[in-house]
Amino acid sequence: MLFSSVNFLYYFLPAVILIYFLAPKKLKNLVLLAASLFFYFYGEPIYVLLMIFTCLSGYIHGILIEKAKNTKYSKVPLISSIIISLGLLAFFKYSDFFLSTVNGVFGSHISLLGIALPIGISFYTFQVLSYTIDVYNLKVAAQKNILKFSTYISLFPQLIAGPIVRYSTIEKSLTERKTTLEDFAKGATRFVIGLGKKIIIANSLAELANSIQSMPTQTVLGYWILAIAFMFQAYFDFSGYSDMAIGLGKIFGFDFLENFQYPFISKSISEFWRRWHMSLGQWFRDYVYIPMGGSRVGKFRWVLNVLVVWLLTGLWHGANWNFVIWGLYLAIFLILEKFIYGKYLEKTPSIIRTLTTFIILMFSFIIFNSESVSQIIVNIGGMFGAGKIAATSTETIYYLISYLALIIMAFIGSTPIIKNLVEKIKSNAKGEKTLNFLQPVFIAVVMLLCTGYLIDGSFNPFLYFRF
Amino acid sequence: MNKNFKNLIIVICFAAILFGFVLANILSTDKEISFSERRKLNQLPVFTISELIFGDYFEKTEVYHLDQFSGRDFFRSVKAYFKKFIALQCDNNGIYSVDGVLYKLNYNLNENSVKEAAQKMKYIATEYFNGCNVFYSLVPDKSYYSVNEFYPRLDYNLLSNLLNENISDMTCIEIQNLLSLTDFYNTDLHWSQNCILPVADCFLTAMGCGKVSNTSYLTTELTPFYGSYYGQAALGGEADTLIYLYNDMINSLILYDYEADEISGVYDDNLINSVDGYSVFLKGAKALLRIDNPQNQNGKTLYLFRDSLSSSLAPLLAQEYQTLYLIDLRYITMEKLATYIPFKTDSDVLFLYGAELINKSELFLN
Repeated sequence: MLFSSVNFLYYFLPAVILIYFLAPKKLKNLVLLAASLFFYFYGEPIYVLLMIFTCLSGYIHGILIEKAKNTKYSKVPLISSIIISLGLLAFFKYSDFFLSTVNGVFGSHISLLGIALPIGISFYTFQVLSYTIDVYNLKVAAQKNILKFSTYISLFPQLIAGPIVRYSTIEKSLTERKTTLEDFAKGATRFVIGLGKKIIIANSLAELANSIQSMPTQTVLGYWILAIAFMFQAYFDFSGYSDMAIGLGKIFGFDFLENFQYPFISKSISEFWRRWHMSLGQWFRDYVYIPMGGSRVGKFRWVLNVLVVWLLTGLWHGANWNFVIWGLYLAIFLILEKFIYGKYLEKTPSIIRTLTTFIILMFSFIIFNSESVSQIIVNIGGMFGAGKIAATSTETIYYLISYLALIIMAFIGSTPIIKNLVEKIKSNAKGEKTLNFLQPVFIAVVMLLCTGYLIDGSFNPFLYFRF
Repeated sequence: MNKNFKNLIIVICFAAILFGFVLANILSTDKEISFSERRKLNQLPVFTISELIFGDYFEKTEVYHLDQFSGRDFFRSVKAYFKKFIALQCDNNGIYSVDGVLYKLNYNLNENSVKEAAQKMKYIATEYFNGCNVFYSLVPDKSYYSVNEFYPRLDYNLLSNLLNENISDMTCIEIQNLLSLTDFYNTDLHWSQNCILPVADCFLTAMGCGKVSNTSYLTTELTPFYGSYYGQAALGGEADTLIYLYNDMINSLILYDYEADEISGVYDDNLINSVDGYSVFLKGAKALLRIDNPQNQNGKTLYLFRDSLSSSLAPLLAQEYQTLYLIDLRYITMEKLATYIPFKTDSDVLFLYGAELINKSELFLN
């Protein structure tokens, strides 16, 4: 079920809120678990069994890891947990990618399995892995209550689109939590902002990208518009979903960590990765990069570590070569930043650094958005007139002008300009009073507007289907 | 307003919208048709275990809830106004407005579609109308007549040339120079019947008949007429007035609907308030119709292969024929057609289509 759907907004969510707040305290986790399983069943009826298995596996392994600690078999349950989790992920997500690669390299004709990817498998697999590894490293105690553990893994606000929530982040909340009026209001506000980012901006830009792609004759300007549109679409889609997840978590008494922090104002690629999909970056840092030695190794080993981490980050986003290239592309810039131009970068005016990073990222999103290697070449080549295409056309100019205001809105929305402005207004009493009055109006207007966009059959793509 | 009170108001707003619409949706009765969108609305899907397990049931309920959402038209307008006045977008649902005239954004020339349409017309002419006088004509979309160069539009000349290149043994009747923007309704894709007498004359002359513009007509004005673009744009605005022409001969025309097995006149005023107001002419979209002219016994028959543009033209043409068959290939195949009507040699055959349909000829049944 998508958050940006009428069934979620006007049937599932009100029902869950009502039952959750009416339920006695000891039943609240049960309500959330039942709601989460239904939420998953709605989109993946059969795969709800996989979800239940994943919960059981993580729960049992956690207890076994704790029990085996300080014995000579201490690593066995951890390895078992990792094999099962990654095995399922590999089978469901990467088997066809592997087979088609083998077919391509060896000219074989092995039939692909054609297995549908269980939605959110990359997110909940990583949550189970982080939990069992943390139990092994004594960072958290194994959860003895299967209800609480399953609630953690399957919690619907972050189930299909993240953020990747560590067990340690919500361990206490699983046992003891309450929602104050302020929490609810903050959660609702955050949810509605995320909804608006997804439906009004991301979906509209997706529509723009779709219109440009389906034009019979492509132009140089069209390829540039496509690049910008997808870049902002991806940001507003991913961060919008994270906002909705964080908001819903708040409503139900959980504090999820931030996942996006204005990534497009980054002055370097390494800074970008501290601001973009932070829960994933931190996951790879803590469970892959640091165990491999992190930066406390020799130069060549560090380069290898970075390449491995980014290869895996790329593959996490999708089982396709464009994601591998995307990961390696970013890794190369991280390496260049560290050894070649990082020292010059520091002396460069910040606007130039931000602009340069923005352009590097724009090309990375073209790679991310392409469905094949040849399409990457066409899309990037097109931006520089490859194929002797025209510079522009009536259609391209039309779409540019028609979506210009939205692109400007997206640009402003991807920077802290609005946040800073709000804080400045809040700094005096009169301004704060005005904002207090305007905030509920804003919430109501955005909700009604999003409903209008949903009802009028707007383009509503789900970018997470590959994850 | 202090912080606590603000929080309370936010929670009330959020809950009121969520729960208010849940209640409104549950309590309101389902509608069958959306008049503004001119389509049937989805009804509550039938529950089956297999559809539940394979996920189809939930998909269908989503579509059903979208269609039956309380205040659907209001929400569509909210979106349309936001897109126009805040997001400054030039179109909504592919409909744009210039000086109060609504147009559909349609610019992709589908060459295969045009070639397939030509093939289809050639096949019909050869297989069924050997020995007949076969003509064809294209009606440009009204955007062809707009002087505004900003909005992309279908290259009518290119489409027309492509069609001509792929058609042989048929006579082309060119009418694009006989029309202007004001001949079309502001809120609809169709032309207005009172403006197309020169077009009717052009066809009739080309097919060896007399002119009809010299005949005197009375007019009936039906208002308001909300064209198909009006509802899709969801922006309100002024309605059109639908005008039809009549005289003794037109009043005597007998329309036979093969599908419904019904006889009636060529106009039906009551249908101005139906889902498609243009259905006043020949009762709207129909697979196969016959118009008999009891006042003209010249024995001439016209087979008119057509789309909805011909609905208002046919009563004018019918004055010069004893029998006129109207065939819409989007709803009937030629094989089936042959079981209903005779194909007389030495008849006139006219393929008359809007450029938009020729560019989307996959709509024709095979």
